[in-house]
Amino acid sequence: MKIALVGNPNSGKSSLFNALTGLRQKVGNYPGVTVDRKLGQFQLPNGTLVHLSDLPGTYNIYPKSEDEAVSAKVLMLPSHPERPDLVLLVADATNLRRSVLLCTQVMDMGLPVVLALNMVDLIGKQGLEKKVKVLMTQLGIPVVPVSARKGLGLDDLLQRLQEVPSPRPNPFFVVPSSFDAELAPFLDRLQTQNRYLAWQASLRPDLLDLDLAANQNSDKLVSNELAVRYERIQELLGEECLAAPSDSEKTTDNIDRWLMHPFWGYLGFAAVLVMIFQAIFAWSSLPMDWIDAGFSAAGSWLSAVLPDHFLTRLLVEGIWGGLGGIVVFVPQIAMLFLFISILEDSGYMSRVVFLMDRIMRPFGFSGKSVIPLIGGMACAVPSIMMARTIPDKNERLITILATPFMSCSARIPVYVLLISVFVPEGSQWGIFNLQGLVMAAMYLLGFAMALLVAFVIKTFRKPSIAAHFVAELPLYRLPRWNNVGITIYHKCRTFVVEAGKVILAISVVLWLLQQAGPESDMEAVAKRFEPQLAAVQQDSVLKAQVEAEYAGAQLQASYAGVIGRSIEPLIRPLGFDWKIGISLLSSFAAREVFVGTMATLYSAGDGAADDESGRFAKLREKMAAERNPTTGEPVYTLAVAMALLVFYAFAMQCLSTVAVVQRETKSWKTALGMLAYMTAIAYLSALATYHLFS
Amino acid sequence: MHLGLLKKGQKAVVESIEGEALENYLMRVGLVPGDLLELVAEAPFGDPLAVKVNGVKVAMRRHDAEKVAIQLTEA
Repeated sequence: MKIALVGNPNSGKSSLFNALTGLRQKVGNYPGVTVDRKLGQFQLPNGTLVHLSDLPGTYNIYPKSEDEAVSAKVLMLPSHPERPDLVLLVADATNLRRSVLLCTQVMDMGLPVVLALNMVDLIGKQGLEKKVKVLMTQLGIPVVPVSARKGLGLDDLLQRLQEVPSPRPNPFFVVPSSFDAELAPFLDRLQTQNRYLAWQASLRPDLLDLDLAANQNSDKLVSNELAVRYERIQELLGEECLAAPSDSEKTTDNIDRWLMHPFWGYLGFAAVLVMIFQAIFAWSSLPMDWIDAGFSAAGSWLSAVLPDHFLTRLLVEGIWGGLGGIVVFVPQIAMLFLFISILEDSGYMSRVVFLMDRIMRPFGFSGKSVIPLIGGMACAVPSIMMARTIPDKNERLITILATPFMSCSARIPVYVLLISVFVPEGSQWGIFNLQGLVMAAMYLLGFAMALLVAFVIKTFRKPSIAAHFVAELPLYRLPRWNNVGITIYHKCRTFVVEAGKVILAISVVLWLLQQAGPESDMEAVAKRFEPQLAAVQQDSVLKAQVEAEYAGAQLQASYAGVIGRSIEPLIRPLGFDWKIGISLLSSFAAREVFVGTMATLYSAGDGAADDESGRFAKLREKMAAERNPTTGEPVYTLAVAMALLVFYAFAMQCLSTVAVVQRETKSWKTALGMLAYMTAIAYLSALATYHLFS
Repeated sequence: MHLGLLKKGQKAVVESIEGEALENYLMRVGLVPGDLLELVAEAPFGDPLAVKVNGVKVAMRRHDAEKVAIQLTEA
């Protein structure tokens, strides 16, 4: 049996979905749109297996967003493959009028409905029985009081779902007969007798891909229908049944007095931000170190037990190494979504939107852009997906395109390396650590560029003035920990799968490019190093040193080296040499690869591989000592370092982000355009920086 | 008088909403002509603002609020 969960946003629909299906659920995507599709399973007491789909929250059947359109389509189209056998309508007991409006629409569409009266824990025992009775008699459908958060009433609900109620014969809203002529072609096309379905189709033929013309004034007709329904509901249910309870409302009002305050509200939000940063950067570093150590230990073990063969190295260095580079970000992403789902679940997020909307608007953002931009400091990939909640198309696009400029955590290792080599450790004005200041400046630089780019895009992709922004500020609730857990699980999974595919594929290709090279060059390198290696076989220290030099020479002779050298003329004006060229090239999979590639090139690798900081120190030493072979000048001057820092701040060196932008905007033009202009901005800014400092 | 002129804490009855698309948006969340509303919060510069209607808090931008005609109720 197919059951669809339908309800207003914030009606507790997802809680009920989680309560009914537990972990027997899958999150996918509806074809052609970026809307999460949640499917789950559970069994009724009589053994029937139920396929439950959690349709996106919707206020009524006339959609105003991509999410709502999905719900409308599934319910409207009689031939839709997902059309449910039964609709489980989730009504918010604290806000009955609106929920019942949606309920009457779904019933008028001829679908059998069972009403779950949710959040009954908030309205108190008195009056509940009466409410349920009024609803049952007036609507003529089974009504079950539940509290999805507290797990109340679920058994009763399962019992009720075993019987499919018959559809109500007379509709709540009767389509005026003056529209008969307009409805005829729609009745015919949809092959239905239901005049209300034809009426809906005539107002929104676009939803069903019908090539029939829409009714004129469809907005006016929708408003009229809603007005008629609201009136009818008032008549049927009466003032007493519809009255909102006041207790939890009072608590919310008291909290809002502070959290929406023009001064304290912002202070509170700043405190929340500080905590999120703390979580992403400080609290996740320990698990990240474990993952890092675990992966390299497992890698060493693999190369020890497997025969020394090309395939072993491909597995250990290419695939396993690439995988480690993805998984290491999972703790940060989990932390990010821990906070975001708590903020969303508690109802605070919409207050953030309220506080930030006016401040963000001059840059073409919406209040809802704040969260993706903050998330961009952990990782752009899941953050870009969060922009889905922004209703205006252009505001959403601007948010998507600005987010990759935020300094994501993959940039940190690069910043740390360059800053530690070139910025002295002293302090400024006796208080600020100089290196720390430069690090902070890098974050500001990324944020400033995000604003600038957003501002520029806004001038030709203006958010429409007609776009209305109407957001509900729901009651505050304690977050439900199982919902939070499920969200974190799904987001991490999506990241590992979506970003993972791209990073893994590229890291394998890059590894191959680094291994293979023009045959004669590779042979020459082998000829030079093999005898040396044989000679020092007994001495482990010398052996490690020769091996590191060997790897460096191999990389120089490889195809990656060839490409790195061939782009040298292009990056010469920035003060970059071919070694930096190779590193730039390899960081196309993931930025942080820069550090590892530099280490190999400077033969700072494997020699001290057990000791991370020793390896790092060695690389720093070698980079500082590097001289240009013809001029004898140091390669890494302050100007070069600054240019490199700026380049990494702005360049789009993350193909997972490009892929996710393509998926979210459905446009290769946008995704590749972003790649092009970000590279251009990075190049020109690095050029300017180089000249400024030299 | 329109909703943009309402002061915090004041109550008013919604008379009409200019623009069918906006009317639609507001009716969806439960703000219907004839309803009693109260202005409960304003962000800095008075934009956006939040009203409470039928126990629901709704935020909207100022330029939209100016399209909502209201009748002030006696306090």
